[in-house]
Amino acid sequence: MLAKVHVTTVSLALRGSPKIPASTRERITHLAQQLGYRRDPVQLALTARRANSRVPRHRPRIAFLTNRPTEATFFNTSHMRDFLSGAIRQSEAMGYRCDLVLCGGEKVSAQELQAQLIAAGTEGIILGAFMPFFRTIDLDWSRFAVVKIDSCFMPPNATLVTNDQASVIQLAFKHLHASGYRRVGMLVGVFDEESTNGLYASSYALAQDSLGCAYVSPLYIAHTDEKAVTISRLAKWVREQRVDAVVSNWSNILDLLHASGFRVPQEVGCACLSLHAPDPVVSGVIQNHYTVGQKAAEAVVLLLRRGQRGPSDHAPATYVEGTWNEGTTAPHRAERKVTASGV
Amino acid sequence: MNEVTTPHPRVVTLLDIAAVAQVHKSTVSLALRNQPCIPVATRERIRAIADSLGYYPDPDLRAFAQFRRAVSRPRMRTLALITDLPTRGAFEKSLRHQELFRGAKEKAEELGFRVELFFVGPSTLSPKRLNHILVSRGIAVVILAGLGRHTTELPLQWENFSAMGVESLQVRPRLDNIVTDYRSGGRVVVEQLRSRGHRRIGVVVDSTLNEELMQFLRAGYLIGLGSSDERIKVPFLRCDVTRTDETASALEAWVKLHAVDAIVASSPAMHDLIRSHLPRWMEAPALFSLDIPPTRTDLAGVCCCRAALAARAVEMLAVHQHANLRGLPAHCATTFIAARWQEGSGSPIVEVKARSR
Repeated sequence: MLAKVHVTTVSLALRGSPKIPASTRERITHLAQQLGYRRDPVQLALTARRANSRVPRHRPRIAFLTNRPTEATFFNTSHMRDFLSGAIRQSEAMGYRCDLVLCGGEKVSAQELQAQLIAAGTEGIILGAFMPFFRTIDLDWSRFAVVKIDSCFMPPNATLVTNDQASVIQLAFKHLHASGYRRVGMLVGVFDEESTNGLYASSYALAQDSLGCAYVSPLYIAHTDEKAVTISRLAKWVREQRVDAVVSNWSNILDLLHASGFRVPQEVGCACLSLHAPDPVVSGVIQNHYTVGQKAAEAVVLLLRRGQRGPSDHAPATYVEGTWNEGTTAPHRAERKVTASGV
Repeated sequence: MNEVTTPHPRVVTLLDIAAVAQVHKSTVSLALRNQPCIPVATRERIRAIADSLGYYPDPDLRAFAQFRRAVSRPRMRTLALITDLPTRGAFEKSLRHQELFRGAKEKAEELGFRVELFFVGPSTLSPKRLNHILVSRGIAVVILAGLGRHTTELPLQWENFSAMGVESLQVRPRLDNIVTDYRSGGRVVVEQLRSRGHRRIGVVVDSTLNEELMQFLRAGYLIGLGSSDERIKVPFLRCDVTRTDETASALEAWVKLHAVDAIVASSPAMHDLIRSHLPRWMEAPALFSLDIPPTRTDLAGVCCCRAALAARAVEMLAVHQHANLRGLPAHCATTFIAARWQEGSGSPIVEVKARSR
């Protein structure tokens, strides 16, 4: 009565609910202290019990499988961390639990893992960006609702959730084109190209096709190449193809350009296609891995709701867009000339 | 005196009957309401006991129970399917939208939703009015059903809705979308045609097709060609299917200029238009179609199932609703639903071509 608000407002305020403005909350808490209000411990116990009893006892589990050999190698990779936390967050929002399961180590056999998963109440599986060079695993997929993040190279056929590399390339080209770059070249890992069925090259061709830019043939490199070889090939390619800006899905592209002896952005612009977070220096596209994790969890829940398990042909594929990050490595060309002449 | 000591005739309740019949009171309740979950013999026995005890239902209570049941019966939640077609007539003529509606309706009914169609656009509801209707009617699930190229903005109070687009990528603010996989569709058709020996493959695009979907198609086309060789690429021809003569002459010029030996039409309507004009040309190219609806088994090309797109949108939004996920996505995701190759049971053009080879 003293606070001149409804009893429910008091209740919410004392429980620190964000629905009540902070100033009102403070005022009510203060008044309650003045009046000597104390919560009745019996009632508190009762409400706590009631609140807890509403939590369903059985929460089906979604296992986020990785074939990275150890937890350390998993958590050292920022995009894997983001995939996992997105999946966990969205699973919990939908009433499921989700956790990481390692299957890349040598110790666990497929049968053992299968038994463990079933014993732990696992109904859904997210194949979390399996790497072809680590051990993969073949479970009895028909027992689970399965969604893949990347992992295109391996069975089963299942709903795919991945970063939209095609739109990421388009986005980078659009920004570079708008900034006055006309001979944009792409450096891409040869394995990345193979695992996406030529998506990089075709998106690159499409971007050039739709913006009416000159065709610059892409430079393919393998991560197994010697660094010195890569650097000299890069330098040769940029000169011969008269590349004015380089886009690449390699996160160390700026270092590679520097190592090849180019001044960025004075001599050549640079956009990285695989940024993980806003970057003050490197221009490029931020890949939203967290959203990929969320969408993978949603796709698993959708299958579970349908009661659909096991592999499926003609499964849908969900692509998550990237976000442009304006750094300093691909300024507008007019501005770049000013900077260059100043240097 | 005698009257005072006689116990007041107490109303017979279900508990009394239950005590005599040695069953739970809920069994009595169900039996007296003749519910089939109680065996017939038990129902009859309880009925007899109730009669012998002089049980009759309290009419006021019964009315109350009836009222409560009527009130608490779960109401179907409404799902708004939004189109930007100018009239209901146009909607009924559009095979694509009919399929979307059918897919949404079937899945929605399975999941306890009712689909209602809304028309937004200059000649129908304004976005503001639509928003008002949706909010005041408590409609929280919204699907944009294949909005056209001209609808690029739809300002609603999106924080109120679980929403998703079906082939409406051009609409701002952006939503998650579900689209036919034009990328794999374009790729499959080009690969099929190349495997049949065609070398100059041209695509004729209906002018109503969204820019975004056409880009997917173009990407698929380029992947299908499998080469960056400029000489084998044929630029897409964009035509208005309603302007027959204009389209026919543009087609003829385009086929000659680029020496097209196989035409892929982006829609069955375009396919039919081309077919009706094709025999006049000197050398008839083979004709294939994209976007073949389930009814056209005669056409060769790529089928897509629009009903499946809408059904998936409904399923996903039901998941979102149950988790109270509303509002615009931080980062958009686009889901592609596979398009399948179909041989076609009898496209005369294909047969002519086959003979001429």
